[in-house]
Amino acid sequence: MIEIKNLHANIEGKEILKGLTLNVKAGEVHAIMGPNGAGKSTLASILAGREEYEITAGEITFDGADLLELSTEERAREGLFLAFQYPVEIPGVSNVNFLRTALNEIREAKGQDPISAKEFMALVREKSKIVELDSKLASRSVNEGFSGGEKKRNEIFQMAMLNPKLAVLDETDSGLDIDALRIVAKGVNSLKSPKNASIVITHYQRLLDHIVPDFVHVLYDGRIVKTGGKELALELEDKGYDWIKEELQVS
Amino acid sequence: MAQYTENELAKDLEDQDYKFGFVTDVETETIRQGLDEGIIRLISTKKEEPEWLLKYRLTAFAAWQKMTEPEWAHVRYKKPDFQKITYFAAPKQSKKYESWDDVDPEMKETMAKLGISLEEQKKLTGVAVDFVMDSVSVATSFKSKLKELGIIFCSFSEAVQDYPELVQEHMGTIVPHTDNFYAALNAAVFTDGSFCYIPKGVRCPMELSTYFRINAEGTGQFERTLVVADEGAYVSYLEGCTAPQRDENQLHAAVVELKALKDAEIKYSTVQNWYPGDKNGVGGIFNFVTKRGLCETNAKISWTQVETGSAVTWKYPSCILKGDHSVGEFYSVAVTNNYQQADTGTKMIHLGKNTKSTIISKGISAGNSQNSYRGLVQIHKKAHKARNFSQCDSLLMTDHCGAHTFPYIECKNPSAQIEHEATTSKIGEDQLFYCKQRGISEEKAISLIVNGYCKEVLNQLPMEFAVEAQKLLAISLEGSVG
Amino acid sequence: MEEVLKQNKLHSLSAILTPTNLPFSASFLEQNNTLLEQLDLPTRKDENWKYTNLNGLKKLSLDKGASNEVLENTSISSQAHKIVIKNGVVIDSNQAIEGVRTKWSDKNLPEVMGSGALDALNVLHCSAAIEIEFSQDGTTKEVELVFENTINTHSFPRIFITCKKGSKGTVILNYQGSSENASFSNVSSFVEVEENANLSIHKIHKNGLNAFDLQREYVSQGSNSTFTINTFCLSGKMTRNDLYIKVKGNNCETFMNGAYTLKGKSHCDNHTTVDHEVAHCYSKELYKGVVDDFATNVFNGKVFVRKDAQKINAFQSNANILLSETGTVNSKPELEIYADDVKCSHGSTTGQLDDEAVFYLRSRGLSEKAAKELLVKAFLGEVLEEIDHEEVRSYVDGQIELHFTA
Repeated sequence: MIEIKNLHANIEGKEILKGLTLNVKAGEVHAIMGPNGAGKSTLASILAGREEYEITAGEITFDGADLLELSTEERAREGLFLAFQYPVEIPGVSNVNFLRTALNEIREAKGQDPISAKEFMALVREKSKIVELDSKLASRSVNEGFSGGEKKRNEIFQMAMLNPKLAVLDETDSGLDIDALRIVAKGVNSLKSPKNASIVITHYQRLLDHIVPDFVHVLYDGRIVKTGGKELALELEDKGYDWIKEELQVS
Repeated sequence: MAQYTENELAKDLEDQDYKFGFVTDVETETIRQGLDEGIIRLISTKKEEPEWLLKYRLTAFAAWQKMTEPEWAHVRYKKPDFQKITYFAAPKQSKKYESWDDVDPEMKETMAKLGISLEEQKKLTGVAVDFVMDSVSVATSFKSKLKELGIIFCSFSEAVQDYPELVQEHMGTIVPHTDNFYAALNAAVFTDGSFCYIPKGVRCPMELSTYFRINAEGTGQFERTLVVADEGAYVSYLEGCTAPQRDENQLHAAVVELKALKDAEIKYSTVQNWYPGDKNGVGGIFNFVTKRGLCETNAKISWTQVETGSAVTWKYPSCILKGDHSVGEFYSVAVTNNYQQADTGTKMIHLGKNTKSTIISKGISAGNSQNSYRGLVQIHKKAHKARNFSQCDSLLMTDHCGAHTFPYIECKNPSAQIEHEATTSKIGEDQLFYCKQRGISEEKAISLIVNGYCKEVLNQLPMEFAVEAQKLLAISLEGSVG
Repeated sequence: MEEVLKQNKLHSLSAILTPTNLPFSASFLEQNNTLLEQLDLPTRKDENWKYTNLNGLKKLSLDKGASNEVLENTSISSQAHKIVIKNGVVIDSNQAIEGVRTKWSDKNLPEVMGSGALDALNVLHCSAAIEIEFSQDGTTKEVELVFENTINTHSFPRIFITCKKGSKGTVILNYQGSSENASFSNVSSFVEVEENANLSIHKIHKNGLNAFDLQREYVSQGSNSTFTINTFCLSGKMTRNDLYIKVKGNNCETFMNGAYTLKGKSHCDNHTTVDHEVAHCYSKELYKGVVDDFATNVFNGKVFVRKDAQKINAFQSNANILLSETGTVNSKPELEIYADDVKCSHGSTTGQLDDEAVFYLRSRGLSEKAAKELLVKAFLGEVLEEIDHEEVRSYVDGQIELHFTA
């Protein structure tokens, strides 16, 4: 689904990613863990196409296409979804209007007709259940006045609505209490299929109790330095990141 | 507003240019260019006016000659040559329209192009429309139905003929002919406009609407609108404006007077889309308008405006809160793009006790434009417990444009409460990115965000107008991010 | 000069003022003279003087009875070097202060043009010129200028303050007047805050009840500098401050705070302009005050952000409490923005004390007067908190208290 090869990236002249390589296939869930400042959110931003980052080397192929050649909205239309760590508020724009616009733009790009109002509302009802989102939130302005948990649930709701091929969850668990965490995870799990994939970026292991990854990668100093199964996450939770640093120094 | 789909917006966006820039090929009757007493007498004769009105015009003309053009606004333009304007241009008509069927087919087509097909409106929306082209009222719909309720809704000229006492009683009482340079000019040369009277206790059952259109070359449009809501009456009034695309600057100097008597309410909405000039700032309408309303006890006047057109706008719809417990509101969205300049805002004059005013202004500047809010909140000595709240926000789309806020706050009463807030910022990069990540194009993302930003104001508009206004905002901001 | 002024409406005014005896060059005097010929006192038709009428000045008479009351405890700071300017003239203490000059030979008197009639008038009738310079390794860190007007007099000083690269300085401009005299102060100040410098100015207007006090400060800031000006209008017939700050360098911080307590017939007008010429700067303005009796306050704050001055954060706030039926508050906060990547905001409120709060305090045994005083002090407290000079703060605090008892 997505292949990242030897990715190097700078922001304001500072190198953050230093040769990152990652391969995600359809049907897989990959977790990326790592200490603060390792480059986790940078990776998410680059995948979504934030312009502040300068790619100095490497390539990313998304479903056979050169991802870096695509604009942010083109990537979204191709099926790449980013659940933001800090979802932004857009006053005066209702969630429904926002999603309908997004959905129709994506459909238009695929040469499909716009969704009818009836179908759309049915979809909203169906998908908002997945994340137990109060239907009132759907008519409120995008993220405005939402609690932290509501914002994150809204991200997953949008993900359900847009049905992406690849979902990148950037620290979706941060700031969530245990109930909200469970709801968010349930949402993500229910969207899992053999045709799509997700990359779960997280600092803590606790999300991975609920979203079971096929692979766990440790991102450290701009590179994937260790890859394992879900047990690696537990080991990290237990021992922290220092042993990995030591291992690296030894080798 | 919910009925309007994004798809419709998309269609509208395809038509980026000023879509009202066509010229209607109807025979026009004009008089010679220039301005002198003879011209004024000629206009008055052509309109078969009573003696008192001619006198009024001549007094105004004499006052105007002693005045100078105001220069305090934050706008720059080449002053119009008042001798090079034709002050009377009317679509030639053999007789007065008795019914819709009499209207020139060419004219009907114009109205259809403007989206105000009266025929359809008759059937569907229940909006009574008065159509003013080149200063002369062309057709008024629904007249008979309104008449049953005692509501008078007709062109100003008709009102002069048919209800001279009403016109004479109220005209010029709120905006005197000495008020300012352009109001004086209007008083001297105005050719038509709309008149509306709602009798005591009557709630006007439909929106009343006037559509203004400048068509002929080299003309100015000087219309007057007078709306009187008698005690306990209610009316919602809409005003729309367009003009053809021309290289010259045409002058529009209108006067609008509103009078809300005891317990009455007037809601006045404008979607102003005069031709703004081209990308290089050539041509466009000079929109110098005086709008003012007077509230008696417990009355309410609410101004809502969406200003996207005109090369230069100079406009301050105001409320004189004379009666105790009266309420004034001003909701405004002003969008400027390319080389447009707008200096607009309001005046809230609190004279009565417990008077209340609210000002919500949203300015959006793009291209090389200049956009200013200028407002006055004045609390007089006797305005006990007066309240004002003002919120003026400006959004900047490029680094070539300007956004300015000039509020004047004057308070002479210790029990008054005045709050003014203003912010100026750039359109949110994070918001744009968020939208794009969801697959929304930049143009549409801007349109979404800007519409959201203006929601408070757009919500004040009647449904049909709100849809039109949303489209206009999107069109006006096409390609605006620098 | 007399003749020139006769043709001008300033005639009656200048006739009662003594011409300057400072060694300005002839050409400089001539330049200002010409300016006066062309200009007149500003009138209310002038947008910047819309709310302040200088007509009272024309009736000003300085030659009647001189009370020559002795002012006590006028100085504020114990750590500052002090210069006393009595009735417009520097009192020679024969004690040199490093970085400070009050005596001039014709070679070195700075000749900077101001911007209007009042600046020109200041030059032609200049009574004192004071230069203060703070430098990185200088020993002078704080200077207090005490202006005492004890008789009917005019006081037209010119003040030059420079805070050199990397230095830090504090200046207290302390205007004091005996209660009954009819003085006329007309001050032009030129302030230069160089790169990485940090200058604080505290201005106290505690003038006599018949005193006119018109002042202009022209400030320019170099990059990475910090400039703070705190203005307190405590008494006087008419106080007008025109503060122009040009922020010329990047990464500057600018703070303007003001408090005013007006009663009787006093008229106070603070005009401020922050002109952001370059990017990445921060400015914050907070003016608060109470207006009682027949007093009038005018606030006009302008934030100007020039094209290309991106990433500017500018905040401006003016809050008023109107205590009487006969007082007036005029507030005009303005934003004029020509750059897009900015965050600017302003707010203005005018209101009265919260009746509920007054009632609450009275129910706890405070008199109405004491309750109001307490609430006003709390209201002004926000400004006082911004003062980083302990003695200035306690002085102003005390004066606010006096305002209610006197």
